[in-house]
Amino acid sequence: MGETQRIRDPIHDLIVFDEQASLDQIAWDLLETPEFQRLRRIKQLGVSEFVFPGATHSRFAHSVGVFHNARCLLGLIRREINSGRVQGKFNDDRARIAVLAALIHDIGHGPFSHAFEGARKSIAEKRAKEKNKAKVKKHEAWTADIIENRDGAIWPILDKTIGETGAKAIADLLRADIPGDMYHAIVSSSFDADRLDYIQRDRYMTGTGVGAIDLRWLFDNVRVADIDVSPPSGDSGEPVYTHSFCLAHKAREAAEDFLLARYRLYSTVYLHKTTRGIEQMLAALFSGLARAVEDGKAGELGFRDENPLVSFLSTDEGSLTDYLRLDDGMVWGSIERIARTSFPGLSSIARRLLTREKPFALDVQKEFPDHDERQRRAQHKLDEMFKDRLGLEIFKDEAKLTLYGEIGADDEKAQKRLMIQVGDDVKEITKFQDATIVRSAHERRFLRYYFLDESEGMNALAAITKGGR
Amino acid sequence: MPVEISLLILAAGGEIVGKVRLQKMVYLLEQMGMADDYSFDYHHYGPYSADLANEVDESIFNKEVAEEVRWRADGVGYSIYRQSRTSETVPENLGEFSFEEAYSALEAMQRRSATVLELAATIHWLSFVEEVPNWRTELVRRKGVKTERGRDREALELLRELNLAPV
Repeated sequence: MGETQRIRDPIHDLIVFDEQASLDQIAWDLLETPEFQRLRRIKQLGVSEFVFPGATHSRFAHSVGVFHNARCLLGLIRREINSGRVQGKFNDDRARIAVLAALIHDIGHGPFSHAFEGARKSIAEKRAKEKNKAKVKKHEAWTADIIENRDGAIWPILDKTIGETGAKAIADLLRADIPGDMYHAIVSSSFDADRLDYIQRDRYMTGTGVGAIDLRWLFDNVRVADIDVSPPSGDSGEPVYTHSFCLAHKAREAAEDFLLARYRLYSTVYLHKTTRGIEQMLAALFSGLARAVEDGKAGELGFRDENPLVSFLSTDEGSLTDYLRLDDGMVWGSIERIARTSFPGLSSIARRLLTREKPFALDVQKEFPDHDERQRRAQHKLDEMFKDRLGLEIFKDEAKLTLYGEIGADDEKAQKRLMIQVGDDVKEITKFQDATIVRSAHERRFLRYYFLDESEGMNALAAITKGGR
Repeated sequence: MPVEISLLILAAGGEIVGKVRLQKMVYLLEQMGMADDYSFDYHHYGPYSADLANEVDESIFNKEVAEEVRWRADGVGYSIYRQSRTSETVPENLGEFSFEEAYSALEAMQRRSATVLELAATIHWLSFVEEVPNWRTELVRRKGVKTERGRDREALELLRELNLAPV
């Protein structure tokens, strides 16, 4: 038996790992592995600190916060079972797997995830001989690999404490597209441990005033219900139900604030114009470095082959060993090294990143607010003007946002919709007749073009605004 | 030029219900050899193309396709896409397919639920793109309860009809 350990946290205050609680002790052991400690060296919000200087919090701090929330949510499940609102007995094994999965859910994140994954995708697509054959492992897949790595430090701890079956169950849970039960909802649902942490932490650390939530009231009103996770369509008779979280009707107001808080973080922080522009430059740097590696020119950038970043970028998939050596420090060291060379294209981007010399941003929505037709005309014109240069010195950045966050696929994840309990049924929060937040049928678009050469950006702006806005 | 979305909807009987259904239909048609217009990634509902989503948006904006939003009983919204050209003549071909070939494949897909289409596209993706050693195990791992009640069998049956089934 270990001893009680304590972490002070700006969001959750005191987080205790109790010596008498075996789950806490497993969590503490996991926290001390090299794989988990690496998360100290990866910032949660990447380059958001270029805009919000306080946002330097790490994925480590976030993960500890997620663990804390997961334990709280577990208490809510126990409460729901004890109250008789949920049938059956509390399942200790599933509970343990869910909380440990919550703790290590981000362990596969690399440095500057958004820019790095985007660059790796474009590199792999160029290298792939067949379409759709560009294999780029996302952080979720790295997470599963790290957990199942027999030579790593995570697997032996899990194997010894919850057994091979339990360890595999954690990896499976994190790979699943939809939750299998209410314990899984702790990790992936409208009210999961992850978002309950980042909504509060990112707001606090960026210093933004938007997005306050009434957490205690929301916790008190969490319920478990059958949620339909089938793709939204007109099919009748084909619902697919799974147990997940919803909120009691009396928490509707707080739930609306909760949903809006997340939306505001997206619109004001995650999709901030300058942050996205810096990310574009970073992605261009990664892509350029990968090209240099492929052309055998890494040496001209001052790198040796054994450099983890060079080694990682030399193959499509990259090895787990190299991946685990990547962190923010490694990337910034590489940027500093590239800045000292005169390598065409790359050295100037590296210098700009070091001195926060941001690219010129042409924000199409800002130029033509609320005018879809002019926005599209501008897009067509810019695409045509720069079709051969996009991704080199000019970058196009497009995002779609709904009330549920950034859309990166067909639709929102079914289990992430905020459902309110109404009698024996549930209803999506924006579809109440007297809802304060009413959901638009359309996504909000963000379309920006970034130019390394400001004069070129100004010319592009003049070209699309010719004849007035 | 990619196959026009409005013509695709015409070949599907004039209406496609749901974004997921539309995406999986195009994915499966492309794997059958109709065209090679879009690049797909794996997302929450299986293979998904952002370029295709943009093309659909453009078609709506150009009034070639009409989108109607409706809501399920639980308040979850979905889109119905209809081709909205006024004088549509049936084209001879859709990409590399004759119109009849496309119609027949789409008809088989329209008979299945959106969940079954999601599973069919995912089985294909796991087998031929990700090349996982055991697609059945991986399908259950990712799609869980969606694979139950014979939906996985129905998805495989659809792939067989389309000559896309893994061995």
